[in-house]
Amino acid sequence: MVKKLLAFFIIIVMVFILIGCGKSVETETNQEAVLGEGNELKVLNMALFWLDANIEPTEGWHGWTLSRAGIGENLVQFDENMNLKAVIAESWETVDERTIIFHIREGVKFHNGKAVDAEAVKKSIERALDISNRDDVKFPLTSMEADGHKLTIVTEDAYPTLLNNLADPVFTIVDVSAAEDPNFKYQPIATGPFKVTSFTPDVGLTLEKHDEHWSGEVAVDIVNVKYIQDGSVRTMALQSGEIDLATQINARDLSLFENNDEFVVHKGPNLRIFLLRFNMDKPYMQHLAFRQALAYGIDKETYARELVNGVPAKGPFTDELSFGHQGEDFYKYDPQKANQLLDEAGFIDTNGDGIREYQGENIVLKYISRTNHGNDANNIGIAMQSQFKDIGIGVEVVQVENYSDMAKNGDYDLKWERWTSAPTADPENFLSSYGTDGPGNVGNYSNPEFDRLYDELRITFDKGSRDQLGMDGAELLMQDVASLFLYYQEGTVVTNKKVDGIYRFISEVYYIDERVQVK
Amino acid sequence: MKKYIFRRFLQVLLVILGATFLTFTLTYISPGDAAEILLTAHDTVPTEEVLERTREEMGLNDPFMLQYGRWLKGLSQGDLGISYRAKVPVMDVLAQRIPMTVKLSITALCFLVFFSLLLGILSAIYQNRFFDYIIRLLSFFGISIPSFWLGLLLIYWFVVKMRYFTITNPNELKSILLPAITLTIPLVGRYTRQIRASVLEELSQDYVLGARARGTKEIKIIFQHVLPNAIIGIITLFGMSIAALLSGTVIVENVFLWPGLGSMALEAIEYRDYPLLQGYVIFMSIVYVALNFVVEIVTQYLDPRVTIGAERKIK
Amino acid sequence: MMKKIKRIFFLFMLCLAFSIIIFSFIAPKFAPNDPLVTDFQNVLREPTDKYPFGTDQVGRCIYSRILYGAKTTLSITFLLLGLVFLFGLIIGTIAGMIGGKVDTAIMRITDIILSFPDMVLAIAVVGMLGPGLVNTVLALSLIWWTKYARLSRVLVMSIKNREYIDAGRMAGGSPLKLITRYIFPNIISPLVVQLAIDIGSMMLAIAGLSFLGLGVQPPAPEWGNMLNEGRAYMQTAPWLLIYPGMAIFIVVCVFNVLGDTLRDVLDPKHI
Repeated sequence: MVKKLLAFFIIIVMVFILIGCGKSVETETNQEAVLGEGNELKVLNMALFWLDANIEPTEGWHGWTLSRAGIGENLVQFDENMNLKAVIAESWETVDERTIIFHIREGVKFHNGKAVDAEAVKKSIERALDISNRDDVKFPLTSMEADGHKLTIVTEDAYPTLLNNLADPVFTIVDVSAAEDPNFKYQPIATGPFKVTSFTPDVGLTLEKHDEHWSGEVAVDIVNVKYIQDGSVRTMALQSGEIDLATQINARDLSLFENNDEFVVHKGPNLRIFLLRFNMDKPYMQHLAFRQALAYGIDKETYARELVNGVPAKGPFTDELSFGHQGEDFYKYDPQKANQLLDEAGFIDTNGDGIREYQGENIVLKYISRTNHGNDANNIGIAMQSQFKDIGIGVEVVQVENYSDMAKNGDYDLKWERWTSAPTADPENFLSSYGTDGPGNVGNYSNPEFDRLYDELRITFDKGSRDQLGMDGAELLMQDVASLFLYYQEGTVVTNKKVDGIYRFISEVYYIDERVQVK
Repeated sequence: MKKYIFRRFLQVLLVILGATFLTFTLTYISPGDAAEILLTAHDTVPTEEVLERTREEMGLNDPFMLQYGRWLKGLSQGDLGISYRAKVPVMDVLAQRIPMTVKLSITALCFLVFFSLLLGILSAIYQNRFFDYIIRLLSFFGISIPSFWLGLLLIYWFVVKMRYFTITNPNELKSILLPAITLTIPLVGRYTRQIRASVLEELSQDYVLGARARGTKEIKIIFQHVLPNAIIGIITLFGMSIAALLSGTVIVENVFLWPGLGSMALEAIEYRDYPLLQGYVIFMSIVYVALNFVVEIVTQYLDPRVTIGAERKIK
Repeated sequence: MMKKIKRIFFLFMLCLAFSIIIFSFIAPKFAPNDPLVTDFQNVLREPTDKYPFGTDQVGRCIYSRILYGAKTTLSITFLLLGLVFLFGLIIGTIAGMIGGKVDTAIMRITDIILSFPDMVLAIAVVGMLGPGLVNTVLALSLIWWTKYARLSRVLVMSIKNREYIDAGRMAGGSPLKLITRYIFPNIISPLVVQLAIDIGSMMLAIAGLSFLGLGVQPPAPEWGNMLNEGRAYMQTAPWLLIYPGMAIFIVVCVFNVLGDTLRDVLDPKHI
């Protein structure tokens, strides 16, 4: 019988092993082996809060992983303060409204050692234009000419945002001749200070320094990039020393690091705006007074401070941007004013149940957000529910999966949206969603005056004028209460004392670059 | 016996076919537009043409039986389709996740066998004495504690407060212990009681009394007589714990951010990645049915007393 | 002697369980605050007089939310168990009485459903149909009725050829009468034992799904989703975890002990 017992154990174990290992693919890397080579190696462990199934830069937002971990570089990029800087291009000159000439930096090498010249850059950009699904950053190209280290790009019409678009991680410069390799989407050959040695979906990446980076010697040898989705876990991992650098730390947890000598906290606004889009097809939403009352009815300051640790928003663009709104908020929290406006506009609670009626029906606004918008979306909804009670408006908060369906069917009043409102430091992309037929204008907002401004913006070339138009457009949306602009997110980067040379990029497109150091 | 195994095998295949139909039907009747979720995962709003094109590409416009047939045909060839989100074959994603879940389950299974045998036998030996009561009380707590709460408490104490364990290095021993323990405790509670019961039953048999009368040491009785005879009970325990282990991994993986099949399933739900979720469900079902089948055959082999074709005990 | 102690203990547990049920339905009367009302001046506050268990991330009273959550959890649990019990009993009796092809068909269906580990199927159903209370109830009933159907089928088959059933059959009357008068009374007690034992597991299943964000949706107070919402604040506000978890643990414990002692009382053969 004892033999049988043993036999049974063996069978069970075998079954498990067969099922498990028989089908498994060896993707795990032996990090210990790499670390064990010698203590003099400088290792940085960092966390990413988002990592998709691969890191092919032309696919969706995957390029952000490359830029965040210092793997990929573009011709030009935005620095930590949102100013354009030359990277792979050493300089550029604008010939006319359609033509820009880039001078490619000497000595730039791909991760595989190949030299980068204008031809290589041209191929990389063509590849991105060809296969990327990111229509929002593609541009209409007439011609692109490579001559040694000189690259000339000509667009079809005046294309004011060409430089901004080229700075998008979609246009990370990669070695196209290596892109045929099926492994390329896990180990792209780019030019940044770090190159990928392994990629494990849902776990992370290991990087090694790029010995031939154009900036010279990179001070960190190995970077372990761990994918940690949950903010509270990033906090724990920082505390336990499992990671040295993490971003987007939960508001509440920041206090654990701020008064602690072991850690350095960098924080400030970033470009994310959280807003509630109105469904303008609802008859009451057409009344400016009604929308104004809603704006007066919410205490954004408190929401931002107490609930989400953000910065209360006045409009779509933070004042960190050159086209951000510098003045006061048009509608500060004032429930009395809101009540007064509603009374004057004829939204009266006639049956005394505490909720105002419109054409005999109680006004209960439906507030929708998608499941993966998380707690913040819900918490704000709950907060508004209780504040709108004071102005006699009901709110129904729903968090659903098929949020887009509901939006399409107009089955909502307030729709939670999260935008990186100016990822390329330009207002056009965001404002387009308020144009009468603009993409993303699901609420059917329409304002002829705004349309006129927007049309002008599309063909304006000069940065100063574009900024002015962006500012005017945003101001118009704010005054007309086209949406409830709630808050900007506060960007945070927390490192332990070991790490140096970290800058907090407003855009959140970059976390580490060639300046990073480990003590 | 061979004929019996063959007949059971055919039944198992039929059951799995039924399971595929159920899984596919569920996907089919689910609300939400997969094409749209695929395209809006990253803060953009796609145009209607792009949407329609994508729907067509994904075959979402075809009739039900056609979609099911196509899917089933693929499944029989080991092709579960392409994950909407990762854009690689579902099989590849599963292959990456399976070892993680298997690692966790086997560790938990080892704990489970060790602790439930140990506690069950001790409890039986010390029947109705202090030690027995303590074990029974603890096993009650084990059954009643929600595993997600237990996991969070363990994280709070051992990771945050004591810093004994880590949670972001799934390849290290330090990270596997806590999730495995969390997965095990509710099951240990349940099976300790069962082992206690079956050991007690054996202890009351005549041959044990005889052995005792001959002056055989109690420990020898346990290991030489009682345990081998209680083996059938222990094997059914395995059969039952498979379901519980596989079920439990979802919650435990979610709590400990363990990159296995369970967290994959939840991500698939979040992104409405139907093929991936289907792959998960089908895979789990096949593993479960297959392991149950093996356990059943082994039970038959070890104990011919169990009549062939008798009602299988589940739960 | 032992038997008497067991009986007394059982009665005690029964009283405890009933008082939990009754309390959960009048709990709203005891709640010091509205479970949905937010207080921005008191966000993530430690327990105080006004908020005995502290407040959560939007300043809601955790104590009140736990009290209301008890009602949610218990009513869903009993609704579900009632549903699957009745449905399973009816289907199982039909299968057991009629036998033949009907029996085979019913058994194959339960085979298919039981070919999934229960939580996996629940996640599949809720995940594909969309998270929410209704789909959770649907998913759990889809799985659990099979248990009662199989049990009642076996029980019916074991007694349907006994003499007293035959006697009842001889006495005439509709099959329905036969079933309700002779069959049910003889199979009900093992079923009730099973029902009592399952209360705890059902609660854990519901709370588990809610914890994963698939069951009861916020802002409705439910213990599982309170834990889910609270986990992000584990370090800075541990009371968000401790109290709701404690509530589940205690209530499930009481019902598990109740189920166990009920089995001892009704089915003493079982060790």
